[in-house]
Amino acid sequence: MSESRESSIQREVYFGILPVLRGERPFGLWDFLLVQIGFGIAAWSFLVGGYTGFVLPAGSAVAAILFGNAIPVFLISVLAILYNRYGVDTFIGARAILGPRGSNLFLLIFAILNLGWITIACFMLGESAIRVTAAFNGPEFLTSRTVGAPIFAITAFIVAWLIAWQGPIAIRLFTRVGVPSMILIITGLIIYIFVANGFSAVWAAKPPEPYDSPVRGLASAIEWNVGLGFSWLPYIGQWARLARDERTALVGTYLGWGVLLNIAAILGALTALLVGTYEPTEWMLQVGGPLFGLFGLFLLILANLTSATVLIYSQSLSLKTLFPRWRWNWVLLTTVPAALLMLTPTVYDSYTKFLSYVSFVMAAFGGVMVADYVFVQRFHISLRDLYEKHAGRYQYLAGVNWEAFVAILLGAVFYFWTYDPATDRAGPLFTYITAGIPTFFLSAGVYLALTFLTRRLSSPVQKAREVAMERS
Amino acid sequence: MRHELDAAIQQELERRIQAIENGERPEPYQLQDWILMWAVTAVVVFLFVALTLNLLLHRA
Repeated sequence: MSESRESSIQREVYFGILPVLRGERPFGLWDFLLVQIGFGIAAWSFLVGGYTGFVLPAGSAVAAILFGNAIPVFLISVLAILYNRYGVDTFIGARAILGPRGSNLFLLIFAILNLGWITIACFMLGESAIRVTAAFNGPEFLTSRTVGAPIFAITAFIVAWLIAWQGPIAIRLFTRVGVPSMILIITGLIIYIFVANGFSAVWAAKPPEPYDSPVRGLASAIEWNVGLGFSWLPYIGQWARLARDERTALVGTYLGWGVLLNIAAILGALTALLVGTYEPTEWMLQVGGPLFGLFGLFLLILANLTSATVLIYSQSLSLKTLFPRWRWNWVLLTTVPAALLMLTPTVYDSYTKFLSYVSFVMAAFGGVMVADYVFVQRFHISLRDLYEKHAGRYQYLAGVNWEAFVAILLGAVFYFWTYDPATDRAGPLFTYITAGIPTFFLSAGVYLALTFLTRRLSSPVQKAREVAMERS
Repeated sequence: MRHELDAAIQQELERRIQAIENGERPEPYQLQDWILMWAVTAVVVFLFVALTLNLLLHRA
């Protein structure tokens, strides 16, 4: 095989649609965890922790963070087996469940939400940078939230874009240095908070803006954290396909995104309780003092740069599955609209609303995908049919698995009846069961019921068609 | 194939599909991986229940 052909195939493995073979997977458990944590510990985890500590005392905040992140990731991490076993990206694997057009629609929704995540990561980096600039008496325009933060955010976006351009190997090297230092600084800050303030003072601190009822506060906080937990759904495939074995993909996904990233959210909650603000770039200097605080701000810059890089890579890789002839830098350019969202703090300041919308979308999709993969496909899919022109047995009806989308729509109706993120209005059940996790189970249940009614009844026809297809 | 790919890439795709169909797959997960995940989840749920009860009892 000529060198240029080999390198073009390698490019298609890491930047394109070719399934990854066993010997080509770069991530062992340690590297996989580092990438997951490097991606997970960023603006979103600090902010969600900060908002949680803003409405709940320490004990309940820790409970909401752990439960809200671990349970959703536990529920969806089974999909890591699918992507790892066949070496395919999320949106190629999702064709088996949603149909090829349904998977493209899922990809479109993901790309829109992903622009929001890139904006949040880069804007927090901008906020950190203006505070560092102020600490070093930098020019005044660079210390303002309206001019300085967008300038730094867009600069960070360009740097992240350039790292993502190099691909996953560069990202792995980047995380090997960045992530252990992030964990050290976060752990150091948590210890410092308890030592400096005393454990009982931190534990007894009153939340700055609690809800009228503590249970309502707990439900809202769980919902925000559940939103973050389910938000990993479209990102599982991009990394699980590169894990060396199914164990790494499955356990690494759960421990990385479901458990270990909570350390950053817990730090956010504790500091929000002590300082009275959910904004990490504000509390870093107040809690950590000038030296530790500056370290903390550098940590935020590093964390958000890592995550923005991974987000840009993930979106580009997934879009390459839809447009395989596009060059890698063309698909990278599809992330550029995020730079426009960084011009003002609007998206960044609407974080909890954004999280709740993510919670509904990803909980409903997650419920359907897990139900289908575990109970309908029973962990086995046809790799060949994922790439067939008419998607073979996954063509469904006009390329869309309608049962899946009906279940997702019913999940949406239930979610918005239970909780309206735009107005923070809670329905009668919200305080008792929250919205995201029940939406997951409802969508899964409706999907299984519809599948039972439609596919089981038409199974002889389906079987005959499959046999004919295999013969041809 | 579903995408219009370069001939070489398409050929490679076919080769890879065959290889994976013929069993060139990563090591499968083991039962103990699930047990580990369930154990961690059980600890999380236990902490959640304990800390939430603490909140409710203090409210009462």
